[in-house]
Amino acid sequence: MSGAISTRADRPAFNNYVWQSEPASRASRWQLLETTVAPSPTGWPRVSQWRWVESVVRQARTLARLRRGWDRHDGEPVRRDIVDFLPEVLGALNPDTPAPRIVPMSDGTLQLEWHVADLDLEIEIVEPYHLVVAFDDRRRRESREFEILSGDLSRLSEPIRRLTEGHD
Amino acid sequence: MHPRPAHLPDFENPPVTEVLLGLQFAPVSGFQAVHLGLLWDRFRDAFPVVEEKPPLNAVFETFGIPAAAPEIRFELLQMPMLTRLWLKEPNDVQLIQFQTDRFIHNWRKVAVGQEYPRYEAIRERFTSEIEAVRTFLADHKLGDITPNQCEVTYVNLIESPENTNLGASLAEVFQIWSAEGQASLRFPTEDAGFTLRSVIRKDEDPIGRLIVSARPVRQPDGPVGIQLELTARGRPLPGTIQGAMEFLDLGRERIVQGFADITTPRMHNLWRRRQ
Repeated sequence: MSGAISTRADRPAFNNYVWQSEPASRASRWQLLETTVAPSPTGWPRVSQWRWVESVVRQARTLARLRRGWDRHDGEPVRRDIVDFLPEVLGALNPDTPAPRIVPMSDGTLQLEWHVADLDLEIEIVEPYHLVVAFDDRRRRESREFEILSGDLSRLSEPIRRLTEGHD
Repeated sequence: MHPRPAHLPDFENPPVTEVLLGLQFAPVSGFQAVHLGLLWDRFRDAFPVVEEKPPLNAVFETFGIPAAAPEIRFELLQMPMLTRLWLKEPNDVQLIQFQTDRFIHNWRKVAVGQEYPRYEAIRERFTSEIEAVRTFLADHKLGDITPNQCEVTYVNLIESPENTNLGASLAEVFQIWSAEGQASLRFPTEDAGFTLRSVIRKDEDPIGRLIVSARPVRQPDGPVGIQLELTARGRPLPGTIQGAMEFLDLGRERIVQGFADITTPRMHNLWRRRQ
Protein backbone atom coordinates (compact mmCIF):
# COMPACT_ATOMS: atom_id res chain seq x y z
CA MET A 1 0.00 0.00 0.00
CA SER A 2 1.24 3.41 -0.80
CA GLY A 3 -0.17 6.62 0.46
CA ALA A 4 2.07 7.28 3.41
CA ILE A 5 2.90 10.93 3.34
CA SER A 6 4.96 12.26 6.17
CA THR A 7 3.14 14.39 8.67
CA ARG A 8 3.79 18.09 9.02
CA ALA A 9 6.51 19.91 10.87
CA ASP A 10 4.06 22.04 12.79
CA ARG A 11 2.33 19.07 14.28
CA PRO A 12 3.72 16.18 16.29
CA ALA A 13 4.23 13.27 13.96
CA PHE A 14 2.34 10.06 14.50
CA ASN A 15 4.35 7.02 13.59
CA ASN A 16 1.46 5.01 12.32
CA TYR A 17 -0.52 7.87 11.03
CA VAL A 18 -0.67 7.86 7.30
CA TRP A 19 -2.39 10.45 5.25
CA GLN A 20 -5.49 8.76 4.02
CA SER A 21 -5.27 10.13 0.56
CA GLU A 22 -7.15 7.14 -0.68
CA PRO A 23 -8.31 5.45 2.48
CA ALA A 24 -11.38 3.46 1.70
CA SER A 25 -10.93 3.77 -2.00
CA ARG A 26 -8.00 1.51 -1.47
CA ALA A 27 -10.41 -1.16 -0.51
CA SER A 28 -7.83 -3.82 0.11
CA ARG A 29 -7.79 -2.92 3.78
CA TRP A 30 -11.48 -3.63 4.13
CA GLN A 31 -11.29 -6.64 1.97
CA LEU A 32 -8.52 -8.09 4.03
CA LEU A 33 -10.75 -7.55 7.00
CA GLU A 34 -13.63 -9.39 5.39
CA THR A 35 -11.51 -12.44 4.82
CA THR A 36 -10.46 -12.58 8.42
CA VAL A 37 -13.88 -12.22 10.01
CA ALA A 38 -14.60 -15.92 10.17
CA PRO A 39 -13.92 -19.08 8.27
CA SER A 40 -16.57 -20.18 5.80
CA PRO A 41 -18.77 -23.10 6.91
CA THR A 42 -16.62 -25.49 4.98
CA GLY A 43 -13.37 -24.03 6.16
CA TRP A 44 -10.88 -21.73 4.54
CA PRO A 45 -10.62 -21.84 0.76
CA ARG A 46 -8.28 -24.59 -0.29
CA VAL A 47 -5.18 -24.00 -2.28
CA SER A 48 -6.66 -25.73 -5.30
CA GLN A 49 -9.69 -23.46 -5.20
CA TRP A 50 -7.52 -20.38 -5.03
CA ARG A 51 -5.65 -21.65 -8.01
CA TRP A 52 -8.70 -21.83 -10.23
CA VAL A 53 -10.05 -18.53 -9.00
CA GLU A 54 -6.78 -16.98 -10.00
CA SER A 55 -6.92 -18.69 -13.35
CA VAL A 56 -10.47 -17.48 -14.01
CA VAL A 57 -9.56 -13.90 -13.19
CA ARG A 58 -6.50 -14.11 -15.40
CA GLN A 59 -8.59 -15.43 -18.28
CA ALA A 60 -11.06 -12.61 -17.85
CA ARG A 61 -8.26 -10.07 -17.92
CA THR A 62 -7.03 -11.57 -21.15
CA LEU A 63 -10.51 -11.39 -22.63
CA ALA A 64 -10.63 -7.68 -21.84
CA ARG A 65 -7.70 -7.29 -24.21
CA LEU A 66 -9.36 -8.95 -27.19
CA ARG A 67 -9.41 -6.94 -30.36
CA ARG A 68 -12.71 -5.68 -31.67
CA GLY A 69 -14.01 -8.26 -34.15
CA TRP A 70 -12.36 -11.15 -32.31
CA ASP A 71 -15.32 -13.36 -33.26
CA ARG A 72 -14.93 -12.49 -36.95
CA HIS A 73 -17.95 -10.25 -36.65
CA ASP A 74 -18.18 -7.12 -34.54
CA GLY A 75 -17.33 -8.81 -31.26
CA GLU A 76 -16.32 -6.39 -28.48
CA PRO A 77 -13.58 -7.09 -25.95
CA VAL A 78 -14.95 -7.90 -22.51
CA ARG A 79 -15.64 -4.63 -20.70
CA ARG A 80 -13.28 -3.80 -17.90
CA ASP A 81 -15.97 -2.91 -15.39
CA ILE A 82 -17.37 -6.40 -15.95
CA VAL A 83 -13.99 -7.96 -15.25
CA ASP A 84 -13.80 -5.74 -12.16
CA PHE A 85 -17.14 -7.08 -10.96
CA LEU A 86 -16.24 -10.72 -11.62
CA PRO A 87 -14.66 -11.26 -8.17
CA GLU A 88 -17.97 -10.32 -6.56
CA VAL A 89 -19.67 -13.15 -8.42
CA LEU A 90 -16.85 -15.57 -7.70
CA GLY A 91 -17.23 -14.57 -4.07
CA ALA A 92 -20.65 -16.24 -4.09
CA LEU A 93 -19.05 -19.63 -4.78
CA ASN A 94 -17.79 -21.89 -2.07
CA PRO A 95 -14.51 -23.72 -1.80
CA ASP A 96 -15.85 -26.92 -3.33
CA THR A 97 -17.56 -25.37 -6.34
CA PRO A 98 -15.98 -26.59 -9.56
CA ALA A 99 -14.26 -24.08 -11.79
CA PRO A 100 -16.50 -22.37 -14.33
CA ARG A 101 -15.80 -22.03 -18.00
CA ILE A 102 -15.67 -18.38 -18.90
CA VAL A 103 -17.09 -17.29 -22.21
CA PRO A 104 -16.80 -13.82 -23.74
CA MET A 105 -19.97 -12.60 -25.38
CA SER A 106 -19.87 -10.56 -28.55
CA ASP A 107 -21.41 -7.52 -26.85
CA GLY A 108 -18.57 -7.25 -24.33
CA THR A 109 -20.26 -9.10 -21.50
CA LEU A 110 -18.95 -12.23 -19.81
CA GLN A 111 -20.63 -15.54 -19.06
CA LEU A 112 -19.65 -18.12 -16.44
CA GLU A 113 -20.79 -21.64 -17.33
CA TRP A 114 -20.91 -24.91 -15.46
CA HIS A 115 -22.09 -28.11 -17.11
CA VAL A 116 -21.78 -30.79 -14.44
CA ALA A 117 -23.56 -34.16 -14.49
CA ASP A 118 -27.26 -33.26 -14.71
CA LEU A 119 -26.81 -29.62 -13.86
CA ASP A 120 -26.20 -26.58 -16.01
CA LEU A 121 -25.64 -23.13 -14.60
CA GLU A 122 -24.91 -20.02 -16.62
CA ILE A 123 -24.34 -16.60 -15.12
CA GLU A 124 -23.95 -13.71 -17.52
CA ILE A 125 -22.45 -10.54 -16.08
CA VAL A 126 -24.19 -7.88 -18.15
CA GLU A 127 -22.69 -5.05 -16.11
CA PRO A 128 -21.88 -4.45 -12.45
CA TYR A 129 -25.01 -5.25 -10.44
CA HIS A 130 -26.77 -6.84 -13.44
CA LEU A 131 -26.62 -10.63 -13.79
CA VAL A 132 -28.70 -12.96 -15.93
CA VAL A 133 -28.86 -16.47 -14.48
CA ALA A 134 -30.02 -19.69 -16.16
CA PHE A 135 -30.16 -22.87 -14.10
CA ASP A 136 -31.19 -26.31 -15.32
CA ASP A 137 -31.35 -29.21 -12.86
CA ARG A 138 -32.35 -32.23 -14.93
CA ARG A 139 -32.44 -34.60 -11.95
CA ARG A 140 -35.21 -32.53 -10.41
CA ARG A 141 -36.62 -31.47 -13.76
CA GLU A 142 -36.29 -27.87 -12.76
CA SER A 143 -35.28 -24.98 -14.97
CA ARG A 144 -35.04 -21.38 -13.87
CA GLU A 145 -34.01 -18.12 -15.43
CA PHE A 146 -33.83 -14.92 -13.49
CA GLU A 147 -32.11 -11.56 -13.37
CA ILE A 148 -30.29 -9.95 -10.49
CA LEU A 149 -30.37 -6.18 -10.69
CA SER A 150 -28.83 -5.28 -7.36
CA GLY A 151 -25.88 -6.01 -5.13
CA ASP A 152 -27.82 -8.73 -3.32
CA LEU A 153 -26.35 -11.95 -4.71
CA SER A 154 -28.13 -14.28 -2.30
CA ARG A 155 -30.23 -15.81 -5.11
CA LEU A 156 -27.08 -17.38 -6.45
CA SER A 157 -26.68 -19.45 -3.28
CA GLU A 158 -29.16 -22.23 -4.08
CA PRO A 159 -28.02 -22.96 -7.67
CA ILE A 160 -24.42 -22.88 -6.52
CA ARG A 161 -25.14 -25.17 -3.58
CA ARG A 162 -26.76 -27.71 -5.88
CA LEU A 163 -24.01 -27.37 -8.41
CA THR A 164 -21.41 -27.97 -5.74
CA GLU A 165 -23.27 -30.97 -4.27
CA GLY A 166 -23.88 -32.39 -7.73
CA HIS A 167 -20.22 -32.09 -8.42
CA ASP A 168 -19.35 -34.00 -5.23
CA MET B 1 -24.46 25.59 -1.36
CA HIS B 2 -26.18 22.34 -0.45
CA PRO B 3 -27.92 22.88 2.92
CA ARG B 4 -26.75 21.03 6.01
CA PRO B 5 -29.51 18.74 7.37
CA ALA B 6 -30.81 20.38 10.54
CA HIS B 7 -31.14 17.12 12.47
CA LEU B 8 -27.49 16.12 12.19
CA PRO B 9 -25.24 16.14 15.25
CA ASP B 10 -22.84 19.05 15.04
CA PHE B 11 -19.45 19.65 16.65
CA GLU B 12 -17.66 22.98 16.84
CA ASN B 13 -14.24 21.36 17.01
CA PRO B 14 -14.47 17.88 15.48
CA PRO B 15 -11.31 15.73 15.37
CA VAL B 16 -11.60 15.26 11.61
CA THR B 17 -8.30 15.36 9.74
CA GLU B 18 -9.40 14.25 6.30
CA VAL B 19 -12.58 13.97 4.26
CA LEU B 20 -12.83 12.42 0.84
CA LEU B 21 -15.61 12.16 -1.69
CA GLY B 22 -15.10 9.60 -4.42
CA LEU B 23 -16.82 8.36 -7.52
CA GLN B 24 -16.11 5.12 -9.37
CA PHE B 25 -17.46 4.72 -12.88
CA ALA B 26 -17.28 2.49 -15.92
CA PRO B 27 -13.86 3.06 -17.48
CA VAL B 28 -13.84 5.89 -19.98
CA SER B 29 -13.09 4.13 -23.22
CA GLY B 30 -10.74 5.91 -25.56
CA PHE B 31 -9.01 7.76 -22.73
CA GLN B 32 -5.28 7.78 -23.47
CA ALA B 33 -2.16 8.93 -21.67
CA VAL B 34 -2.16 12.17 -23.63
CA HIS B 35 -5.55 13.03 -22.16
CA LEU B 36 -4.13 13.02 -18.64
CA GLY B 37 -2.01 16.06 -19.40
CA LEU B 38 -4.85 17.79 -21.16
CA LEU B 39 -7.10 17.11 -18.19
CA TRP B 40 -4.53 18.56 -15.80
CA ASP B 41 -4.58 21.75 -17.84
CA ARG B 42 -8.23 22.19 -16.89
CA PHE B 43 -7.32 22.07 -13.18
CA ARG B 44 -3.83 23.52 -13.28
CA ASP B 45 -4.64 26.93 -11.78
CA ALA B 46 -6.15 25.44 -8.63
CA PHE B 47 -3.96 22.32 -8.50
CA PRO B 48 -0.52 23.16 -9.85
CA VAL B 49 1.28 20.24 -8.20
CA VAL B 50 1.04 16.89 -9.95
CA GLU B 51 2.10 13.39 -8.94
CA GLU B 52 1.55 10.02 -10.54
CA LYS B 53 0.31 7.06 -8.50
CA PRO B 54 -0.54 3.46 -9.29
CA PRO B 55 -4.20 3.03 -10.24
CA LEU B 56 -6.67 1.86 -7.63
CA ASN B 57 -8.55 -1.40 -8.04
CA ALA B 58 -12.29 -1.20 -8.51
CA VAL B 59 -14.42 -1.81 -5.42
CA PHE B 60 -18.03 -2.96 -5.19
CA GLU B 61 -20.22 -3.54 -2.18
CA THR B 62 -22.28 -6.70 -2.56
CA PHE B 63 -24.54 -8.60 -0.19
CA GLY B 64 -26.04 -11.97 0.53
CA ILE B 65 -22.85 -13.94 0.22
CA PRO B 66 -20.81 -15.37 3.09
CA ALA B 67 -18.67 -12.85 4.91
CA ALA B 68 -15.76 -15.23 4.54
CA ALA B 69 -16.15 -15.63 0.79
CA PRO B 70 -12.80 -16.12 -0.88
CA GLU B 71 -10.96 -12.88 -1.23
CA ILE B 72 -10.05 -12.37 -4.82
CA ARG B 73 -9.43 -8.70 -5.25
CA PHE B 74 -5.70 -8.86 -4.89
CA GLU B 75 -3.22 -7.24 -7.18
CA LEU B 76 -3.81 -9.95 -9.72
CA LEU B 77 -6.95 -8.24 -10.81
CA GLN B 78 -5.20 -5.05 -11.70
CA MET B 79 -5.63 -4.49 -15.39
CA PRO B 80 -3.08 -2.68 -17.46
CA MET B 81 -4.36 0.85 -17.22
CA LEU B 82 -3.21 4.41 -17.12
CA THR B 83 -1.69 5.94 -14.06
CA ARG B 84 -3.69 7.75 -11.38
CA LEU B 85 -3.12 11.47 -11.25
CA TRP B 86 -2.77 13.35 -7.99
CA LEU B 87 -3.38 17.04 -8.51
CA LYS B 88 -2.64 19.08 -5.40
CA GLU B 89 -2.74 22.58 -4.08
CA PRO B 90 0.71 23.84 -3.13
CA ASN B 91 -0.28 23.75 0.56
CA ASP B 92 -1.42 20.09 0.30
CA VAL B 93 -4.86 20.85 1.71
CA GLN B 94 -7.01 20.00 -1.29
CA LEU B 95 -6.20 17.10 -3.57
CA ILE B 96 -8.02 15.60 -6.53
CA GLN B 97 -7.30 12.17 -7.93
CA PHE B 98 -8.23 10.93 -11.37
CA GLN B 99 -7.87 7.63 -13.20
CA THR B 100 -9.94 6.29 -16.06
CA ASP B 101 -12.59 4.87 -13.72
CA ARG B 102 -12.28 7.03 -10.61
CA PHE B 103 -12.50 10.62 -9.42
CA ILE B 104 -11.74 11.55 -5.81
CA HIS B 105 -11.53 14.83 -3.92
CA ASN B 106 -9.66 14.91 -0.60
CA TRP B 107 -9.60 17.68 1.96
CA ARG B 108 -6.78 17.28 4.46
CA LYS B 109 -5.86 18.97 7.68
CA VAL B 110 -2.18 19.79 7.45
CA ALA B 111 -1.69 22.29 10.28
CA VAL B 112 -2.80 22.75 13.86
CA GLY B 113 -5.67 25.20 14.02
CA GLN B 114 -6.64 24.73 10.39
CA GLU B 115 -10.39 25.02 10.15
CA TYR B 116 -12.48 22.17 8.81
CA PRO B 117 -14.43 23.67 5.90
CA ARG B 118 -17.41 21.29 6.43
CA TYR B 119 -18.91 18.70 4.12
CA GLU B 120 -21.09 21.15 2.22
CA ALA B 121 -18.11 23.18 1.02
CA ILE B 122 -16.17 20.06 0.00
CA ARG B 123 -19.25 18.71 -1.75
CA GLU B 124 -19.59 21.93 -3.72
CA ARG B 125 -16.01 21.70 -4.95
CA PHE B 126 -16.42 18.01 -5.75
CA THR B 127 -19.56 18.68 -7.78
CA SER B 128 -17.99 21.43 -9.83
CA GLU B 129 -14.87 19.35 -10.43
CA ILE B 130 -16.94 16.41 -11.63
CA GLU B 131 -18.70 18.75 -14.02
CA ALA B 132 -15.33 19.97 -15.26
CA VAL B 133 -14.28 16.37 -15.91
CA ARG B 134 -17.51 15.69 -17.76
CA THR B 135 -17.03 18.79 -19.88
CA PHE B 136 -13.49 17.68 -20.66
CA LEU B 137 -14.70 14.23 -21.71
CA ALA B 138 -17.43 15.73 -23.87
CA ASP B 139 -14.98 18.17 -25.49
CA HIS B 140 -12.76 15.26 -26.46
CA LYS B 141 -15.65 13.02 -27.52
CA LEU B 142 -14.85 10.50 -24.81
CA GLY B 143 -18.42 9.98 -23.64
CA ASP B 144 -19.74 10.57 -20.16
CA ILE B 145 -19.30 9.25 -16.65
CA THR B 146 -21.58 6.40 -15.58
CA PRO B 147 -21.12 5.98 -11.82
CA ASN B 148 -21.25 2.45 -10.42
CA GLN B 149 -19.98 3.09 -6.89
CA CYS B 150 -19.34 6.07 -4.68
CA GLU B 151 -17.99 6.73 -1.24
CA VAL B 152 -17.49 9.31 1.44
CA THR B 153 -14.85 8.88 4.12
CA TYR B 154 -14.03 10.82 7.28
CA VAL B 155 -10.72 10.25 9.02
CA ASN B 156 -10.49 11.46 12.61
CA LEU B 157 -7.44 11.67 14.82
CA ILE B 158 -8.41 11.45 18.47
CA GLU B 159 -5.40 12.53 20.46
CA SER B 160 -4.83 11.32 24.00
CA PRO B 161 -4.95 13.95 26.71
CA GLU B 162 -1.68 14.30 28.59
CA ASN B 163 -0.69 11.30 30.70
CA THR B 164 -3.35 9.06 29.25
CA ASN B 165 -3.31 6.29 26.72
CA LEU B 166 -6.55 6.24 24.81
CA GLY B 167 -5.30 3.32 22.76
CA ALA B 168 -5.52 1.14 25.85
CA SER B 169 -8.81 2.51 27.14
CA LEU B 170 -11.17 2.72 24.22
CA ALA B 171 -14.14 2.99 26.59
CA GLU B 172 -13.07 6.58 27.23
CA VAL B 173 -13.86 7.33 23.61
CA PHE B 174 -16.36 4.73 22.47
CA GLN B 175 -19.73 3.99 24.03
CA ILE B 176 -19.76 0.61 22.34
CA TRP B 177 -16.62 -0.49 24.20
CA SER B 178 -17.11 -1.78 27.73
CA ALA B 179 -14.65 -0.61 30.38
CA GLU B 180 -15.85 -3.40 32.66
CA GLY B 181 -15.29 -6.02 30.01
CA GLN B 182 -11.83 -4.74 29.33
CA ALA B 183 -11.03 -4.56 33.06
CA SER B 184 -11.97 -8.21 33.45
CA LEU B 185 -9.21 -9.28 31.11
CA ARG B 186 -6.51 -11.34 32.83
CA PHE B 187 -3.80 -9.23 31.20
CA PRO B 188 -3.72 -5.45 30.84
CA THR B 189 -4.46 -4.08 27.40
CA GLU B 190 -1.56 -2.44 25.65
CA ASP B 191 -3.71 -1.04 22.88
CA ALA B 192 -6.83 -2.03 20.94
CA GLY B 193 -8.91 -1.33 17.87
CA PHE B 194 -12.04 -2.53 16.12
CA THR B 195 -13.97 -2.54 12.87
CA LEU B 196 -17.70 -2.72 12.39
CA ARG B 197 -19.81 -2.79 9.29
CA SER B 198 -23.43 -1.88 8.80
CA VAL B 199 -25.59 -2.24 5.70
CA ILE B 200 -27.11 0.93 4.21
CA ARG B 201 -30.53 0.33 2.70
CA LYS B 202 -32.83 2.20 0.35
CA ASP B 203 -36.44 1.06 0.34
CA GLU B 204 -35.32 -2.07 2.24
CA ASP B 205 -32.80 -2.99 -0.46
CA PRO B 206 -29.13 -3.06 0.49
CA ILE B 207 -27.22 -0.44 -1.49
CA GLY B 208 -24.07 0.13 0.51
CA ARG B 209 -22.19 -0.15 3.77
CA LEU B 210 -21.01 2.03 6.60
CA ILE B 211 -17.60 0.80 7.70
CA VAL B 212 -16.13 2.09 10.94
CA SER B 213 -12.59 1.33 11.96
CA ALA B 214 -10.59 2.42 15.00
CA ARG B 215 -6.93 1.73 15.44
CA PRO B 216 -4.21 3.03 17.72
CA VAL B 217 -1.63 5.46 16.42
CA ARG B 218 1.43 6.50 18.36
CA GLN B 219 3.41 9.68 18.63
CA PRO B 220 7.19 9.33 18.76
CA ASP B 221 7.28 10.72 22.28
CA GLY B 222 4.78 8.29 23.69
CA PRO B 223 1.12 9.25 23.76
CA VAL B 224 -1.16 6.89 21.90
CA GLY B 225 -4.11 8.30 20.02
CA ILE B 226 -6.81 6.67 17.95
CA GLN B 227 -7.44 6.98 14.27
CA LEU B 228 -11.14 6.61 13.64
CA GLU B 229 -12.14 6.16 10.05
CA LEU B 230 -15.74 6.09 8.84
CA THR B 231 -16.58 5.19 5.25
CA ALA B 232 -19.95 4.97 3.54
CA ARG B 233 -19.65 3.24 0.20
CA GLY B 234 -22.25 1.90 -2.18
CA ARG B 235 -24.09 1.91 -5.42
CA PRO B 236 -25.66 5.13 -6.65
CA LEU B 237 -29.32 4.71 -7.52
CA PRO B 238 -29.89 5.71 -10.23
CA GLY B 239 -26.42 5.35 -11.74
CA THR B 240 -26.08 9.03 -12.49
CA ILE B 241 -24.15 11.94 -10.98
CA GLN B 242 -27.37 12.98 -9.26
CA GLY B 243 -27.78 9.46 -7.86
CA ALA B 244 -24.18 9.51 -6.69
CA MET B 245 -24.61 12.82 -4.89
CA GLU B 246 -27.72 11.47 -3.18
CA PHE B 247 -25.77 8.46 -1.98
CA LEU B 248 -22.91 10.65 -0.77
CA ASP B 249 -25.33 12.84 1.17
CA LEU B 250 -26.95 9.77 2.71
CA GLY B 251 -23.53 8.30 3.48
CA ARG B 252 -22.38 11.50 5.11
CA GLU B 253 -25.48 11.49 7.33
CA ARG B 254 -24.76 7.90 8.38
CA ILE B 255 -21.16 8.79 9.14
CA VAL B 256 -22.00 11.81 11.27
CA GLN B 257 -24.78 9.98 13.09
CA GLY B 258 -22.56 6.94 13.53
CA PHE B 259 -19.73 9.05 14.84
CA ALA B 260 -22.01 10.67 17.43
CA ASP B 261 -23.58 7.33 18.36
CA ILE B 262 -20.39 5.42 19.01
CA THR B 263 -18.44 8.13 20.83
CA THR B 264 -18.94 9.13 24.46
CA PRO B 265 -20.55 12.33 25.83
CA ARG B 266 -17.22 13.08 27.49
CA MET B 267 -15.55 13.27 24.11
CA HIS B 268 -18.50 15.22 22.72
CA ASN B 269 -17.80 17.88 25.34
CA LEU B 270 -14.19 17.95 24.31
CA TRP B 271 -15.20 18.44 20.69
CA ARG B 272 -17.82 21.00 21.74
CA ARG B 273 -20.97 19.35 20.53
CA ARG B 274 -23.58 21.95 19.58
CA GLN B 275 -26.51 19.66 18.96
